Amino acid sequence: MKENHEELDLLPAYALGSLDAEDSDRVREHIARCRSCREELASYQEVTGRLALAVPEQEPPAWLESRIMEKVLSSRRRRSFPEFLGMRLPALAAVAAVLIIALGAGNIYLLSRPFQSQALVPGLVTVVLTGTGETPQAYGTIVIDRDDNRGVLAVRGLAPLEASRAYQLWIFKATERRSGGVFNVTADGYGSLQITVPAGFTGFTGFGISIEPAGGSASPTGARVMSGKI
Amino acid sequence: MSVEAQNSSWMEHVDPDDEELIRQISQAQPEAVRVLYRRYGRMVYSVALRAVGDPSAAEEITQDVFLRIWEKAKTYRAEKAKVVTWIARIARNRAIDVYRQRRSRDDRASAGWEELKQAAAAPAPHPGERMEMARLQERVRDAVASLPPDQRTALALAFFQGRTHKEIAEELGEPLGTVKTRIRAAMQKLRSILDEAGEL
Repeated sequence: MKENHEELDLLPAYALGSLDAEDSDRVREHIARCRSCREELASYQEVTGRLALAVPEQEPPAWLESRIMEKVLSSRRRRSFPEFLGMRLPALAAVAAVLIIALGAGNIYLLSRPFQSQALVPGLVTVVLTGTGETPQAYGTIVIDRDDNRGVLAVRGLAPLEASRAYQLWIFKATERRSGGVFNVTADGYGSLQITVPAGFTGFTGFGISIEPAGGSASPTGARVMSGKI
Repeated sequence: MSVEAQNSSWMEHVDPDDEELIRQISQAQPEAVRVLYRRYGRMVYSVALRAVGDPSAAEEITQDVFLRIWEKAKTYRAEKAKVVTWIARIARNRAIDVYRQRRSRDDRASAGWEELKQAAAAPAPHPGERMEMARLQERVRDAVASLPPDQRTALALAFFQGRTHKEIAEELGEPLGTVKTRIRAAMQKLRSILDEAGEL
């Protein structure tokens, strides 16, 4: 049985938003401490929502759907990276996992196709990395979101390094080289890295990996072991 | 599972339910917005058009609503409201905002529940997908149509234009207490009808 509060009579109008400010404040204060009235209010809010279904339907113009989708996609590209990561990290992690599994299968060509077609996660670009003359057995893939300049790298076939050295990813643009991060590989040669392109470094065209002192270098100093172009 | 059964399960297409679509949107899957738009775009546009009376403004409102759904899907709480209620609330709030901005210079808005029966007979573009929606719409329209005319009028002014009791009383030239009673009675009756029909 519901308690009989004075505010009970105001709940239908509160749900509709038709109370004046004073009564609205009174209801708001009351429902903050009265569970039974909160439940009562929720049922009237559902009624208010349902009223939209009683409105005689009009057909919106056909172009409206594509306009909305354009705005949605455009908004997605503008999202800041923290929000992007919050929502897409599972997708990127899944991509990285698939990359590592596929690298194990050793079929870099098949691996790269779905990403180049951007079918799995629209908006991401795939770059295939191959080993240099010193590490012909190494291969890897970078999946990067060029709108937000973040991505992931997965490699296989690199030799584990001693603690004083590390692999460093370099991002190329003409003669410029910027660090994309430092990583190491497991005993069986697998490695991965979450990439952050330095702010303002737009228009980059490729990637390379070199062996550097642990912690990385300001510019490449060691031998290049892998590279790939966008 | 037999090969035939596997093939059958692959070929079978089941539309995600509303909550699943919101979950997908919260994970930045744009195609879920398209599915949700096809499900509720007409409702949103129709509420907006009825509130502001101007097709181009209703189009803008509809875009705003779905962009807001895209951006705010993570804030949706299933325990607080059904998806249709959440979307309707966003649409109505946005439409009322625009109505208030425009009402001093534009009087094309028509707050009313006219043509309820004619609307029920309107052709549905995707009959298969919309059967459930059409059934729900018919229930709600019947419930609204069952209200006394004076209750319907007061309810419409509150619903479409966001008017307060006092503003409605002034608009209708009725005592404030009368308007309060009409709106309360209308909402109580609607809740009772929809509850009995299992729609709440």
